[in-house]
Amino acid sequence: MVSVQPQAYVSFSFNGTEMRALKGQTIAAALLANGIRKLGVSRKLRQPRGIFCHTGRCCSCFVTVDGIDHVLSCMKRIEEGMKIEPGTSDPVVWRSGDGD
Amino acid sequence: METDVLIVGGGPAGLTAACRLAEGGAKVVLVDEGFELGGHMHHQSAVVRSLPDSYETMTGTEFIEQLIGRVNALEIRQLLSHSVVGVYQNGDLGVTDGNRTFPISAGQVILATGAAEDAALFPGWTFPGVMTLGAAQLLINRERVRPGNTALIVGLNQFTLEVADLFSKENVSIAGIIEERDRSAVPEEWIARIHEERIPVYFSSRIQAVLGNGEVEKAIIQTSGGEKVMEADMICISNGMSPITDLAELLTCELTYNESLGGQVPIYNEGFETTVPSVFVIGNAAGVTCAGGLLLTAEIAANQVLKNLSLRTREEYLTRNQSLWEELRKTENQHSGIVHEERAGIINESVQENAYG
Repeated sequence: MVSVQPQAYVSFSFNGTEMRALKGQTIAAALLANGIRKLGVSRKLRQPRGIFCHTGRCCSCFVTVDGIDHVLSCMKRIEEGMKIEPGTSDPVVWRSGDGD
Repeated sequence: METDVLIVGGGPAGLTAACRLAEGGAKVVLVDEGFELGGHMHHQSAVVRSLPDSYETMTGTEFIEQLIGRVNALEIRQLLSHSVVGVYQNGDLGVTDGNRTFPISAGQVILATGAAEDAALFPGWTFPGVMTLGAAQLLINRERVRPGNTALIVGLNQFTLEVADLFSKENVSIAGIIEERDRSAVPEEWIARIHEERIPVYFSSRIQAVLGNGEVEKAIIQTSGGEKVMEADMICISNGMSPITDLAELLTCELTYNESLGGQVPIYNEGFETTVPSVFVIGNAAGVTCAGGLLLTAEIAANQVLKNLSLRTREEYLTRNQSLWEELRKTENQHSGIVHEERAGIINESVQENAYG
């Protein structure tokens, strides 16, 4: 098929553990291929979350990529050297009370 | 950015409209939030049923690759990994790549946003390992990952049959299919096909709970014969699709509810123009239909848009519109049950909308 290259690999880390995935895979698929199904937790009850729709709509697969939180892991391809962490935080929203 | 036509969504409908419009001389910008064109159909390894007669038999992947080839050969501005996120006061659409947001000024807008798979709610449906059947299909066909070893599938329908074939090819075993309806409400043909594959089907049944340590390991099934604990590391939901209407709502298009078309759907006229002038809706976003139906709705809207842009005479438009609707009627009546009849209802509402709105 088009995107995923069966012979080319990229290295990345999840929670500090080095992993390898096929070039062209989404972050979510790359993690699944390494046996990672729990990608983060829900905001209020801290329940585990993973891939649900893999089309960018359900927002169940948020992870932190190179320090940027709430990246939809199903909509972004894995890249060499990416540091992935599970999605465990609330989004940082600037409020007027926060000042500059 | 300025364009004659902005198409939102690069699936089969959006791509078909893009080709027709560019071939007809219109300036086209195509936006898709994915990193590649093709939409859901791109990763369908099964043969596409219901393509219009002029097409040869092919799989979803083959069909979409061919269509992408046509789009790439034309002068169509493609904005991949871009989403439409708002409307400016002057009517321009706000488009973003996640870092930068910019306006696109388009005389005509075509919404080809497709449909989304419906969830099915049961205790534990948010556990890692529970996913839509379409997600499982995509993971295998596009991402080259097995989503699990043993699956339970919730819902028996045409799509279940298609993906069950794929699972057996990929050595994903199916522990069972859980169907809410009574056996008598499910077509015998489907039951026979599943029987051939030796997959157990539990009718009048539902999932009572999902068990596991942070991810799916087992499920408790409530069947007509009592409770049953089943081992599975994946639960796939096959519960139909609904049109994606977020953008139509943002553009203040009037919607109506129609169960046969998949739920909330924009009201449109015979050219698939919504209640907002020069905003069109096509494909599954205009009511969930068969593959042939998607393409024909795109052709019909493209015909109207070309007329609006004075790239087609009124006579050419009328002749083509009539023959396309005839083809749509045939295709949908053959493959999509009562979808076509229901469209007539939508168009009637549109007439009333114009008269009183």
